[in-house]
Amino acid sequence: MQQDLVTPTFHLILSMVVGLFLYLVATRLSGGSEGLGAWLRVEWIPLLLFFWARQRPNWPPLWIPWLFGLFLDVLRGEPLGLNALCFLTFTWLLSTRHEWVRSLSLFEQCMALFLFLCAYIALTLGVLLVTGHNLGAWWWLSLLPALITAALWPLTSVLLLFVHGRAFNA
Amino acid sequence: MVAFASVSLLLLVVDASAGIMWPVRTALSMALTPIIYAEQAVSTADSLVDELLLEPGARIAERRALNREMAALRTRMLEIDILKSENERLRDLLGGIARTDMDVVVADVIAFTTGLGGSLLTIDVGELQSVQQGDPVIDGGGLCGQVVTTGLNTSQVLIVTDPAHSVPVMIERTGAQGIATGSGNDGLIEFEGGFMLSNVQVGDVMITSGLGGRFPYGYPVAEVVSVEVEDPLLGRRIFAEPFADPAVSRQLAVLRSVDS
Repeated sequence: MQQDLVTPTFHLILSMVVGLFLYLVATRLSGGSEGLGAWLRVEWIPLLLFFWARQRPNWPPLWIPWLFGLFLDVLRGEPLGLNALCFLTFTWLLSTRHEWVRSLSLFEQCMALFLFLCAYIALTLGVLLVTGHNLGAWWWLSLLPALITAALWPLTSVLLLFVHGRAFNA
Repeated sequence: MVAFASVSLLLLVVDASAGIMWPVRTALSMALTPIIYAEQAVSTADSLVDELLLEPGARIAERRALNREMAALRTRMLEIDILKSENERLRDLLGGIARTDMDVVVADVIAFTTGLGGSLLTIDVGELQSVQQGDPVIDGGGLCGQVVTTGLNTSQVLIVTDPAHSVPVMIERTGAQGIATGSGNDGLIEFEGGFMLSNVQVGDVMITSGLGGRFPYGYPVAEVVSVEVEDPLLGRRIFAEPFADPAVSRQLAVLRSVDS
């Protein structure tokens, strides 16, 4: 019984750490803030959260998105709590629609992920607006990562199931 | 859910209003240090392989070239030492105040992140090396940015082209004073709020003016690349390209202020 509790959490945290790692590698490769590179990114953490939320009801535990959101706040120099709040809401939204997401085909899940990501990005921009940040004229490009991330979903889903599938069958 | 959400909101409010969240940021960035180092190790692995596979002949040639360069630099150092002491004597004669002494610590860039909050470099020196918030950071070209967060062994540097970054500068040729503020994504900085802007030309060099005391006088910052006449009353907009290239630099120098 103990194993049932420990293993999934371990897998979850491991994958989130790898997600942060991928975020750093991708930022380095895109060469930082110059031009379009800033918008051509994958939202690794929400992608992973979507995977884990699909696997099991009431999962992942909410402190995970919250903590990793704080980490991302620090890495990206954004207001402390911004990503924490947005990941938290994202995960909570997902867990309330758990049954619905499970019933979809892989392609339909892509669409669903895109919608959830749009909601997540809208919330991010909303919080930034409320806290007095200037979004700039190109703010709508922030939706580009949602498209890219959603397009990566089928591949990610297969890969993650291959790596972490055991977490739930053990 | 509600508890975590309220804590996030509280953090947002507190963080927006005051700088009292720095200890939390420091703690979190310390927890992140292993991941940052791991990423740097992977990213530099391929250049390391190149180095190991280098032909012995090429290595010898490289060492010779380096030795020659070092000898040349030693000679330059001697000249600089002489000039420095001469400068000090002249300053004494004029009764001026000596420049604040700055102490240099060399740092490796271990990560480069961008977010809506700006562009940040992470470097591998921190409080243990007595790096403090606000310390200027330079690379081979010139002023690169300033330290905004310090961890135990890492610090984050806000770069000069970031809109949140400002530095007091002067045009070296004319002495016109102003503030250079980052203009965001296009990698330029804008020269603002100064007098005597009418004779600024493309190609003029901006150096730190030393006003305000945070940045020492005389470090090159940027070269003017465009002068736009936008409004006949308010004057012109002057854009300059920084000498420092943070996206490429791997080693930087942090200027620590020495309290005496």
